[in-house]
Amino acid sequence: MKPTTRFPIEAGHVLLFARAVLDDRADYYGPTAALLPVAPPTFTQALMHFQSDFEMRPRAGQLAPGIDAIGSRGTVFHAEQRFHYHRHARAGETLSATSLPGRTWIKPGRRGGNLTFSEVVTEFRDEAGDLVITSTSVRVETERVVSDD
Amino acid sequence: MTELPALGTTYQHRLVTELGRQALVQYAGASGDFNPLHTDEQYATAVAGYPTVFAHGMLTMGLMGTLLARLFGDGALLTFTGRFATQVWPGDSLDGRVTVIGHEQGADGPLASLELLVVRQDGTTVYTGTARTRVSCALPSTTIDGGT
Repeated sequence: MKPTTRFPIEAGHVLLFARAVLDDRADYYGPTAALLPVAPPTFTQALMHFQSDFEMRPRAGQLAPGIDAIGSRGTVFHAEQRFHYHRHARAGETLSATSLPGRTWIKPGRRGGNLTFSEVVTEFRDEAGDLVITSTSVRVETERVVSDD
Repeated sequence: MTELPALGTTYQHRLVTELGRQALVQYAGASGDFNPLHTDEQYATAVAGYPTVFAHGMLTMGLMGTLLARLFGDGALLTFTGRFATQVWPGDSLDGRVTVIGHEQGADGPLASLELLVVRQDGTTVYTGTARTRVSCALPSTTIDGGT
């Protein structure tokens, strides 16, 4: 059975996320703000807050999160992202997220040795089980540190 | 009926001026992505070997999402994609460009296909993407504020 994460869309969280993507429109702030605003288009990224095993979250008794996960031999980057909106999520509803691995491929890189790409496809469904958003994330792992500076 | 923007119309807008480290911390907190490459200077330099911390790719894409919401309204997008071409560093200023490359009449009204670009102050492209959107509100005829 595929693991499913419960993802409540909360108005306060939507406001914080809108601020973080520097959206200062009245939809989110002040006396004319929507009580149950539409979530910004990239809001489903905040699913990380609800994933119990997310390795980058600071935890008690751990000095710096993620060092084991990243290591110093190379780096994992977010290379590409695709969203397909069947409809848009709104504060006040709770979605269920299911992630599955997608394609994997290797490309020789110019700056950081071989690049290993891998896709994760996450489906967000509403309480009726209908698909709301499909999110495809492509990660790339480099063999060495890369920088353009 | 909403008039569709002409093919080739480009909207340009300043997404952020001199990106601050606070903005990286704010995005980390809101998204839950606490990867120390984005928030921990010592980690980014001494452990990972970068000149300093750099922005989440999804912060850049999120800024483009904000521009699309300003142009087309909330909940208008059908698809939204992005590729992260290179890192965005603290102090970078970013401009977003949205170009109309196609349009059609959908079942529920007009749709536009868009080409998306984010460039930083030195002209380097840091993000390329595409979107398909409903067009239900009046759009500015040329660029919107803050464009250069």
